[in-house]
Amino acid sequence: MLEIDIKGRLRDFQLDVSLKVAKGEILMLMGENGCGKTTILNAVAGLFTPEKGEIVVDGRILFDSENRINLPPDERNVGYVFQNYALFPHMSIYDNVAFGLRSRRLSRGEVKTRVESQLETFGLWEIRAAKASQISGGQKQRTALARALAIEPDLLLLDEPLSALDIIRQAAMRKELRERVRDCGVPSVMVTHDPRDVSTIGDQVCLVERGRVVKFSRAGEIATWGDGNADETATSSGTEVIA
Amino acid sequence: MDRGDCLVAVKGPGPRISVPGQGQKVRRIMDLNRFKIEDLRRSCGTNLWAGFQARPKKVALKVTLALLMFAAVMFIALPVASLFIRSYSGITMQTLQDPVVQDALMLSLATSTIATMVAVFMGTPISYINARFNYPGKELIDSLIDLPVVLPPAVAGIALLMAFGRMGVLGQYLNAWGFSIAFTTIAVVIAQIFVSSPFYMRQARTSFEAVDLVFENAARTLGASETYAFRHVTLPMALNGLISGAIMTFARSLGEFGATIMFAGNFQGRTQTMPLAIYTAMQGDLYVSLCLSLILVGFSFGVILLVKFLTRRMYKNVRN
Repeated sequence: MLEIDIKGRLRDFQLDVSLKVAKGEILMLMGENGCGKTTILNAVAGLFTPEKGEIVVDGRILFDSENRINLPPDERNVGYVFQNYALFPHMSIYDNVAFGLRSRRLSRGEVKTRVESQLETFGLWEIRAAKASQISGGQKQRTALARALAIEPDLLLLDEPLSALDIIRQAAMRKELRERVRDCGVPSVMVTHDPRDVSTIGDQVCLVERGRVVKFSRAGEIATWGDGNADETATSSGTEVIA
Repeated sequence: MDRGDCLVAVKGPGPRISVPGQGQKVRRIMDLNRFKIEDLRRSCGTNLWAGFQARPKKVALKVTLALLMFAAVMFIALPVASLFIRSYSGITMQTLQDPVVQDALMLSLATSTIATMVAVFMGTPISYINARFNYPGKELIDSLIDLPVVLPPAVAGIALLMAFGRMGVLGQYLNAWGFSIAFTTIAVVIAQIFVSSPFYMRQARTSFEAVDLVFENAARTLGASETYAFRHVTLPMALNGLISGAIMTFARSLGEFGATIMFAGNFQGRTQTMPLAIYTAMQGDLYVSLCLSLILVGFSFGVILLVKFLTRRMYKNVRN
């Protein structure tokens, strides 16, 4: 169970969200550019420090402003798939996937077995020696996910993992992504712009606007959201659902 | 014609029609065959007649540019080539073994290497901090770092004397303890560090800035401490830039003249580096000067090629 309840200033508006994601559940965050979606992910990962609030994963406190607890990113054990993937360009695919395990000072043998099985599972074994710039978009996404999951994280964050792919590749990768995220069985939060991602991958979905959650529903119900003017009418009911 | 209208011109046997953009109306269709070219020039504002004159004008432009370029290249190439041409008749293996040449070469290589190592050691942390963090007075410190680049070397030499000389601000205390820096080999190294370390720090800062913060963030979320992320992600990604900065620093140290001669003096084997030896030998054996110059020219050219190669490779590497 991931519990997020954070407040903080963000450019010209106030970030104020409170979300809960159960184990094995995938929460989708939607909203316009600059509304604070990525900042929420960064706050959970420890790359952004909110002013107030707390972030708890399975009872483990990552951030608690009242008790002055703020774990650094490397102690949070969070899997994060960045937008554009941020694969280390100077390393091979193998070294990218091995990075998290090596930085945890695991023994050589253990790194080897875990990375090899991870590469097998994700279908990256053949390209393990390639550099990040030499592989296709779909392979990059797989590598980023494999790298994030290699550390056996307590939760998974994905920032528009499909947006860097071309339309044709997206459909295939969407299904694959759903399977892989489901298989890992941890609470996941995924930022997206695409309603198709929500209905295919997500369990819950919420709409973020200027730092606040204005709508919250089951992912299947996104079709009933409509577009445009429905936003205002749903504002009040959305916050009620959260509260 | 009015502004915003579109002239559709039809010329020759087959009609050539340009499609009007939005908000434009086709007012009339002109048949170019029926107009004199001068008329058309007046009517639509396009200098068509120039098209017929363009060839000789273009050629003239190209010739002028070529001449200018030739002059510029010759201006640099001729003196360098002359070095080789004049050396050809007089330089033998014996010149290379002349003690003045040998001493200067060894001293220059040794002092420049040490100066570069100190610059890298000192400059890397400062450059990283300046690239990644904001703190009060950052701009001031950054400008101070760049100052020696524009400072006349003679001024640098005097400044160093005032600081570390026998009567200097710090030097008088060092002198009391029995340390004398000015006019020693250490002074040569200090002068080189002072003048050349900005070249490294500048390049290092740019190289660190070129590494997107997202890579460091990714490393941190994967479990890397700040130092681990720096050592395994930021540093290797910036490495080509850092190396080219270090090479520039080494080259600048090798060529240091003004500050060295003022602060360290001109003693063969102790403070007489290659540029100083070139200057001194001019009065006696020209071929010693020429021999040292050739070594420096060859080295400088190699430096430029290497730096170009390294920076090109760096920018290919750091993109996400």
